[in-house]
Amino acid sequence: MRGTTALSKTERQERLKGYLLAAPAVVLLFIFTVYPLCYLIYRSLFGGNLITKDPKFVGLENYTSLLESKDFHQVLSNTLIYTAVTVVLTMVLAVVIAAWLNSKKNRRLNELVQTCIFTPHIISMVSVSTLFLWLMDSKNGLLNILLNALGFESFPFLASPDTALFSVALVTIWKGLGYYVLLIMAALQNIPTSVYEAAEMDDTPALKTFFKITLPMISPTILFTSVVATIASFKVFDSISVMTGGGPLNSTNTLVYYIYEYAFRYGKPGQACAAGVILLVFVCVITYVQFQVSKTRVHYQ
Amino acid sequence: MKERNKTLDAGLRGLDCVGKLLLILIMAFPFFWMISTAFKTLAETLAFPPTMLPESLQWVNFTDVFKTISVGVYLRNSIIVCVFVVILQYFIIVPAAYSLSKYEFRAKPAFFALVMLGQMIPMQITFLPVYFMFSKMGMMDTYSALILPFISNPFGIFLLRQYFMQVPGEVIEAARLDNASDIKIMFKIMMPMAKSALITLGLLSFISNWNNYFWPLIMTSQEARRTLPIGIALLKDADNLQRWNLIMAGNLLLVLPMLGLYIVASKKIRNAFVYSGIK
Repeated sequence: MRGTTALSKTERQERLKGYLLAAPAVVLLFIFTVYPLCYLIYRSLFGGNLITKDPKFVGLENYTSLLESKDFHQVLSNTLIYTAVTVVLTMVLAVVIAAWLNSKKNRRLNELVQTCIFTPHIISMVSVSTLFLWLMDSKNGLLNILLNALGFESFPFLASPDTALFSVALVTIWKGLGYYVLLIMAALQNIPTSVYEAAEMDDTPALKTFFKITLPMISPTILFTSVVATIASFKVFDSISVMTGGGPLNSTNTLVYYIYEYAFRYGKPGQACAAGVILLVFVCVITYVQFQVSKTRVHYQ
Repeated sequence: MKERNKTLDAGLRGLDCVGKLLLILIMAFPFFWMISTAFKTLAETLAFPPTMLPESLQWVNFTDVFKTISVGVYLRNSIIVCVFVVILQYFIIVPAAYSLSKYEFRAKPAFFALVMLGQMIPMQITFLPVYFMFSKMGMMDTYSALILPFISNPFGIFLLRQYFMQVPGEVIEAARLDNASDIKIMFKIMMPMAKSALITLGLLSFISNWNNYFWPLIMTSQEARRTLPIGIALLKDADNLQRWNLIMAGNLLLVLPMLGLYIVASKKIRNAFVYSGIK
């Protein structure tokens, strides 16, 4: 009898210790994740501005005014176009370059390429953005000087609403490419060599081996990294803030930048929070996809 | 026939080499151009055709940057934030990961779900409520506002937990029999076992906090608490003349520490990112 109570006492102590050790992290995660999420949804139902003490309850009005606003439609389409361009180009380039660097030709050079291609990933987006502002400068920018020297016409880059969003995407791709190459190379190196032996014996052409063996083997990684890239694109803010400020003519205004401007420039936190909830829905959908993807990933292994 | 194959091979090899050199050029040249511009005179940046290298090194550009923006203050703030985040996070995430890996309690699945939620929700979603909270509490423009949201690093908890789970239970039992406290077990047994993960986490959070622009932009409005990325963005806006040589000189101050770190530990840093990407 005494034995069991003693045991349950240490057990209880044990449990208490588990809680105590986790407590600081739990408290911080509550303050900075759970509470803000709840408050975001709650605040999206109220009007008022940044300094109103008791904002008025307006129900879903913030949402309806967002969905009716032409500006917001453009912001949504900007965000989706930017995401599609960035993710597709990044993934295609990353797979091609990773497969290329994984080949046995010029091995020493491969190491150097890998080092160089990854460098922009650890540099601040502010630096990269200002650097490309200079390179894309319409008067003295090196990119246009180079295009002219090669016999092409000047490209307007960030100056025209038709090309600005694409130019911002280009900078993101340049900065992030190395990271995705690195992840896909890691997947390539995990493919057992035995898989290729049969193909080698049959003298299968390299291109066919790539499409029939390599690509299916790394497709789980490609899907997974695409999800990572998609969420990163939804969050885009720094490059927009530094390079274009959403312009020209709203052509590069994306979701997070819109939220920021609505809260701090136009002083409409209710509407900004409603837009935040829409971003939350986007991220949840993508994460759900990621969850499904990781299920299929288990399948492959 | 064999002869022809050899020349074809050599040709392919050459083509492969040219392609890779071109790729290196595309990735490295912008950095070279940044450095080169930073040392030019204003007239040289506007010259046509552009010169590859500055005629003489204009160190004065850097002193001009210090005159235009308060680099000293920004630099100090950046360093304070990075150092505190990197150190303080260990005090939060090590016990949390230890608890998740070695203790049994009823709320454990809920705690684990909380960590996953924290990992999933980006700060671009939560920043407005956190801003309201901090401004109500009078915590705007404080170091706490820049540091606290980053020290309960959910990815760190997740990664360390995986490492800690590999430590056999017998080792911990034996230490307990020797009357070792939990704190001692964490420091003497768990942390040495997860050394590489701890270094990885430190590196990753140093890099991301040094480069962070979004969070300090929202949480600070006074010079005294702004960090270097904000300073560089301000330098760009403050300069109506678009003195690109000056802007690039300022930019170099933000880039060089990371570039230096990367040159010293490029393999280590890349491995850290592979870790974080694959999980």
